[in-house]
Amino acid sequence: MSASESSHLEHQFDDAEQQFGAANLGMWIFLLTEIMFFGGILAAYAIYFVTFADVFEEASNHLSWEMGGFNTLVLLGSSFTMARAVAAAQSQGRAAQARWLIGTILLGLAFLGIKAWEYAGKFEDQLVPGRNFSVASEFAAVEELFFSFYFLLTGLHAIHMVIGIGLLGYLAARARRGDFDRSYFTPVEMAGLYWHFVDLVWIFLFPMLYLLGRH
Amino acid sequence: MHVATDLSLYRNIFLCLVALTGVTVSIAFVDLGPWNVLVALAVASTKALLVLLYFMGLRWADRLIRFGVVSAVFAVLILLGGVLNDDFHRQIKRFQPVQEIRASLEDLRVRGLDGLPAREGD
Repeated sequence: MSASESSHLEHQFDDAEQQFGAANLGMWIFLLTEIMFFGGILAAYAIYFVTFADVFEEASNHLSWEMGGFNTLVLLGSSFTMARAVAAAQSQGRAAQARWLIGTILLGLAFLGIKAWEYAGKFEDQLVPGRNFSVASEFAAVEELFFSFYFLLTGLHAIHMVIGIGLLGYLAARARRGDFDRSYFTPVEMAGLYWHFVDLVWIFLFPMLYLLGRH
Repeated sequence: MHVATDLSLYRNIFLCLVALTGVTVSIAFVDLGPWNVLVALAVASTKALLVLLYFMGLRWADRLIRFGVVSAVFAVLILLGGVLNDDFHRQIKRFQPVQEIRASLEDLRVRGLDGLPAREGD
């Protein structure tokens, strides 16, 4: 057992392998609850979509698929850098680890920046549900419903990203300090699982929100 | 090790995901009727599978973890299947036609809550 391994091993575990297994299982169980959390909202969305398909398609066309698509690429890129960060935590030095983590953070911030820009546009175009919502449509109330889902889903997704960026910032500082190596990299791998999950949610949100009515 | 030994795998998966995003976008502009949504979901599921298997390392994970993921996805599918099946086969729709909803919402806006007819016993 190396010095760094023994210093990271909590006393209730037999060895580092078992400790990693426990962390991994815990993280996955958390992510499974997240799958069902988003799954529930998506089920509600599905009901309204099959009920008001035409109106939802119309409402969806108020969103910019270019921005959504570009953001999809940004987020996929951040998943790539995150995967490389997890690999680096096991096989590369602290500088490389910090670099991949910071790259992931920057892409995450880029995503949120574009998202904020989109949100601002929605406020300007009076597409935010509430008193000032206004669209030139016979079915404005249903379009408002679509935008309620839009802000709920993308808002929850964005909150997850803000949390993820915070985690990654903390890990980048630890990586720079030299905390992670072949024998101990659990936090980076767990944050990676979380980050990829957030990417995974967006993979479904993009076609379901932005591309409904393009045909 | 909990990662692919060949790091170029990550780049290749990333490129596959980008390509599939292109597929998603281009198919969305073709009119396939009701199939548009289903195809979009199928492509998204393929992308999700790539992320799960390679980026999240499910391919190299314990059987217990893989079983857990399959169970969670299955639970969501039961939820979606049950809910949509119910919705499709209802004789009495829970939802009013959009015109009625619009009318009643407009009504609410114009008259406010006070304008609603009083309930029995009020």
